[in-house]
Amino acid sequence: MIATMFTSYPRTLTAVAALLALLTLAYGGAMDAVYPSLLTVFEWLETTWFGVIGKTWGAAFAFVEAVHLLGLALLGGCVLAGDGRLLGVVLTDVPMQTVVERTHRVFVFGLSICLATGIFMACGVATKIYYLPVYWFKMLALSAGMLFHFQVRRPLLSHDIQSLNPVVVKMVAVASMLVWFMVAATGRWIGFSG
Amino acid sequence: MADDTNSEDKDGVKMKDDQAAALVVAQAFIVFSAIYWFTQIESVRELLQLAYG
Repeated sequence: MIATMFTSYPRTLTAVAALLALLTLAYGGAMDAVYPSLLTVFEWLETTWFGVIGKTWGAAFAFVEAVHLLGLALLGGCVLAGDGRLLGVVLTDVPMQTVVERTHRVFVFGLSICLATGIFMACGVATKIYYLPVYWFKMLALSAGMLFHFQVRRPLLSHDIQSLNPVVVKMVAVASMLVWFMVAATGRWIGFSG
Repeated sequence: MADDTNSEDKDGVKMKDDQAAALVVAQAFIVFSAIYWFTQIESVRELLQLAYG
């Protein structure tokens, strides 16, 4: 019985394990154990080229932040278009599979821009963000969002969407919007903290 | 013929697994988001009440 469950539902079991791991990391004290040792890493980040440029040259930081926001707009637009189509709210005259495929490609591009520029920005203010709980929450939300997109949403939508349970498809669309909203909101929150 | 049936069975099992995983994770995200934003809004409301009565 248990062996059958393991062979029939490997993705579901992995997803449950990942959720429990994320919760343990956030609220189970695992983060408290790792947190002090990370300070040296964040102090080192500020001494790197990225850190020095970000700290001393305001225009460079502002330029990279503008690109970061454009990447976020691209990512958010893809989430709204793709998930909005799954909910049957936008682009209803275009087949779901087409919208999902095309938005995914642009989503990956937007995410890559956000990650690259985000690393640069983090280096410039590394010792500030280290002490901000909201920064760690954003990283948790970002990890959850990426895992959700590539390990849950994408494999699900690679099947014929019409043959999937519509309730599951709509719940995935809502959850996807919520997790990326959380990433964007906590990102802006960092700007208003510390 | 038997191979085709086998492959269809495998696809069906994989689809069930993908749907179950999506359902579990989506539910968790929706519930967590609802609780998180509710507590955030409540804390702001309490702060405003403390400040302005």
